Amino acid sequence: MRSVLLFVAAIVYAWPAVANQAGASSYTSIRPRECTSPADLRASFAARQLGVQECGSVGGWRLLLVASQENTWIELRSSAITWSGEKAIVYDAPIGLFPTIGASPQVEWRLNGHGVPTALIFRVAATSRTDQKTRVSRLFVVRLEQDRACVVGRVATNAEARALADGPAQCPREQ
Amino acid sequence: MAITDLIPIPDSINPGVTNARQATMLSLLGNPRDDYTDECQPLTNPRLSALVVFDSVGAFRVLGLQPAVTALRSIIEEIATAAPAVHAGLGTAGMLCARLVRGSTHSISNHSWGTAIDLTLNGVLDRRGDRMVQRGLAEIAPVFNEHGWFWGAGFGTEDAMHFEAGDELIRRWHTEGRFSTRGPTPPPLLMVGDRGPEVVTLQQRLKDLGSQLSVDGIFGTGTRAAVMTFQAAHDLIADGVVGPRTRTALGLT
Repeated sequence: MRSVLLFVAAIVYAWPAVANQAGASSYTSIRPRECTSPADLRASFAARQLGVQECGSVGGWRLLLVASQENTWIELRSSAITWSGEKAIVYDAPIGLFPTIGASPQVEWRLNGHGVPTALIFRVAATSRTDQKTRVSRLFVVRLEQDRACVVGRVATNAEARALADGPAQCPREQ
Repeated sequence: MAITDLIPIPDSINPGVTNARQATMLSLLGNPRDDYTDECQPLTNPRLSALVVFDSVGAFRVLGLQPAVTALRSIIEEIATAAPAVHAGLGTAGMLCARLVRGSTHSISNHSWGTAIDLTLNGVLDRRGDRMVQRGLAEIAPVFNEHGWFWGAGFGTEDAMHFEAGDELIRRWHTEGRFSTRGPTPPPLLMVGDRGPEVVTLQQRLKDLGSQLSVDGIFGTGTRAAVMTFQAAHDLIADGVVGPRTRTALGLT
């Protein structure tokens, strides 16, 4: 009887905390000194003349920050998938010249009611094409699904990014 | 065939042109900034800053080092005649970007001095590392080479959008006083941070001499250790830098 009561008490106690996590955020640092060189991946990236650091993450994802001579981008890995932001950041209508991650010292993970990350928000900055002296930036929103990840948008403000992250947009399914 | 169609890297690219060594850039131009981050930042080196211009090179405007921008203008003029279809589609993805290459042994981006440029064709950036190059870039690469510019398709990992003033050209500009300084030109050095065909040759030579080195064209800590081992065994100063004496001892001259 005592154990049943404890179990019920635990649910009553825990439920609001879990429920409150819906639409909640967790932040992890991407500062260089708080990221490390991943021993298992360093050589494969170096062979492609890329630098790599692994930064803190949540929900079982690995968050890699990859650097070429011109750009940096984020790569995500889970037990099921590997996703690279290179195409979205560097090649698909780049926001400016030499787009890189790092204008903000952290990334934002959006969590569902069970504390599972459903989206990642990070800032990409670049040199303005117009005068090539000022900086421009955009927040990229990446949808995280169990078997895929994809950019669902690039926006200007945190509110827009969270709305997009918590919205219905999903990664396209292969036909 | 469109100028953005992809073709394999042509044979015999960059004849007589070497990519700019980091040691050359640092010794002749100086350190562009006092400190670096992941992001492009303005130069803090006053001598270099004074040489930075934002100017038209015909097809577009660039922010770069004055001698390089002037040279680019000539190159693009020549492209207008030699390859008008490519010229019509030319654009840039940037020239000057002083930043750190995070997590690598290269440290400073090769765009940090404003003597390299990334090109787009019809707004499309050639994808790095796929060993395929846009046809239009292959068509204009010889023009760059004739002017002493190195084409990035020749890097260990193909980077075909990238063109940079070659090591020989940088040295010539220094000799001509184009960097606002004169003085003796130091001997060519290879050291940590360098990459490209010269590093491949060095690594292959070290491997032939018994080193367990992977030949990847990147002068990293492994190559440095192999050079130091070689130097120590040949009564040379074991500093891991390949200067004239080490080069001769290796039989690379």
